[in-house]
Amino acid sequence: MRRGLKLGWPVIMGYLPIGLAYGVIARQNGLGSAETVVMSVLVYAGSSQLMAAGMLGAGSSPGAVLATTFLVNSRHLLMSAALSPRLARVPRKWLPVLAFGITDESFALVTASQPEPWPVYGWLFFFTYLGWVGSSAAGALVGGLAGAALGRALEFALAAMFIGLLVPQVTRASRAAAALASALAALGLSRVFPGHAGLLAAILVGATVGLVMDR
Amino acid sequence: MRGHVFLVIAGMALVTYVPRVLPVAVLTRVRLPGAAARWLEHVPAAALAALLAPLVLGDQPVLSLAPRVLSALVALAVARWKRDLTLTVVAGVLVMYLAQRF
Repeated sequence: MRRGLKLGWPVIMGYLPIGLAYGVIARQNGLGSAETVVMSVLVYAGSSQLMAAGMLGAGSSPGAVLATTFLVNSRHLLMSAALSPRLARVPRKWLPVLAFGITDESFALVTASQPEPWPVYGWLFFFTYLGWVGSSAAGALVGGLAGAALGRALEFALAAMFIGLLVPQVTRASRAAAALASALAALGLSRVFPGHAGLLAAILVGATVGLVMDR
Repeated sequence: MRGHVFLVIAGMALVTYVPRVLPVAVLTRVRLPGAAARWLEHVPAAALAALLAPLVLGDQPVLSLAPRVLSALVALAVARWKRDLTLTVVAGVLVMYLAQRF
């Protein structure tokens, strides 16, 4: 349990500004505080929640919200697949529970660290989930109390965390090629599709380039 | 809580959970052929780079480009030499905070 908390705390700190931002934005878009928190409890995917809050505020149809959510979160297909070697020893009844905890950040943390016994992953996912729900609840309740400059700086915590997780992944040339191809594809696609909608395609391109370079 | 909003949230929960659980549920039961396993080995680096690049180099409404690039370079140097995630995040945020003030 303590090991899970120790491993997970950079992710919890990274969720804090995003969760706060989500809570504030959801309230500004007319969601009630209960609705704002329930979405974090049940969906647990920050970028899609931000997008859905905006769409609900703009009066989009439920079908459009659901289709966008699926598109934005389809990237978890690949993360779930890539995590399967690490989660092979999880008992069958716990696997559906742990799978709920797969996020960009928890996935990155697990693949970047040494293999751990599966309960460590269980606690890690549990604490990061609590971090997300807690920070979005705080955002829904208190709004923007942090100073503007510090708030903007905290928005960069996520990027810095991705950097810290990416560096140990680049252990050979083919992985560097995968990262480079994926970054270029994501940049190009982000100009056409908003948010994370193009991410699945970018990751597919990057991993394929990596495999080709690996031969 | 409004009923129709709850239904939308429940639907979002479903379409988000299925892509999370399905691959891991199937792939922890079957053995993948070598090429597929090697392809999956490249997914983490690709996924992180795809998440990162638009944050640093894409159009962002709040933070301008130069502080983001500077802060990313410092975080990269710390990650490369210290291999410490917490230190990397702290360094990146600190540089971003200072860069906005000058």
